Amino acid sequence: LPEDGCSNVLLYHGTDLSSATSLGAGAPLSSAAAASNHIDGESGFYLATEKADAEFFAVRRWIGSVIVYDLKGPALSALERAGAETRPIPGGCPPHFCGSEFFVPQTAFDVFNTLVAQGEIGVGL
Amino acid sequence: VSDSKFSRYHDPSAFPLNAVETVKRHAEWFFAGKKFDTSEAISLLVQEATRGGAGAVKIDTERGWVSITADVDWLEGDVAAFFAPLSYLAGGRNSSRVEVALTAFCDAVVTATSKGVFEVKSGEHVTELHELSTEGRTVAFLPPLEERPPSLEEAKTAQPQTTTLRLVQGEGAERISAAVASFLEKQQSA
Repeated sequence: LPEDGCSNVLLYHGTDLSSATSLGAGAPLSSAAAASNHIDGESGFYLATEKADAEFFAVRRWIGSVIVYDLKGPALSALERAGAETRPIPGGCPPHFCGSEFFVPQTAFDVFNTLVAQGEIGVGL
Repeated sequence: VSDSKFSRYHDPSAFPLNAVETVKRHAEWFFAGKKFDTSEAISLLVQEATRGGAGAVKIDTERGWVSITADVDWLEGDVAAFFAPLSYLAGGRNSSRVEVALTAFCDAVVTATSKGVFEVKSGEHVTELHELSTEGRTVAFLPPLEERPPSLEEAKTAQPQTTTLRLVQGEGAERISAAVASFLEKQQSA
């Protein structure tokens, strides 16, 4: 991910259709939803740097969808200060992942939701 | 964010992703060469079966079909893995079973347990395979035409494309020395 604090970055979230519909309609991230929907790994909100990887996380829930988040540079920095981090996607093999993940812990959900409300994070498809 | 693509509200239900169709677009999830590979598929199935507790796994190829038979049902009676890239505990975090790749890329897929046969994807000769039976599980698939294993006759008549050094165990040190000398001579004259 860009480290200049200025560039926008597109990140992808793959999930089941119901969750995608809810997020696409502007629902904020919620700890309860994250806990109930996660399949493995620590509970939180996961974004993929590559759309192909997000599609895997969408369809492993049968019928899913991918939501695109457009993060402005300052939003990325704010989330990292709140504990979010970019790292390799663990496990797989198969599947072979082609990108990394941006992990937003539950403790950073309020920061994420505020940035969406302020328009610093855009939501698209 | 002023770009119209990134307003605040969207309806993902207009863009649902079907699991098998999506796997068809992403062969790279399972295969290093980014297309269906019979050997890799067999290897992943054997891995799944052994991780699922199999002590014996048998691989057969006949008339283009490949079948994997294990002494336990590594899917535990659940055939959902043929229709979505499902993770499984023994595979670890973010894992996926490979069965869905068979459904996505093969011309026909059949599976059987002691409880009967389940035809995942129809194809030629499937009726002959309906006699499959096993105490554990069998997964049989007909790879895409270009990936089907050669018949025994085809394999016998296949000629090596390059000169190779072949040392047969049990032929003795002298024969091996002679073979090495002959190989080197051919390499130099080539």
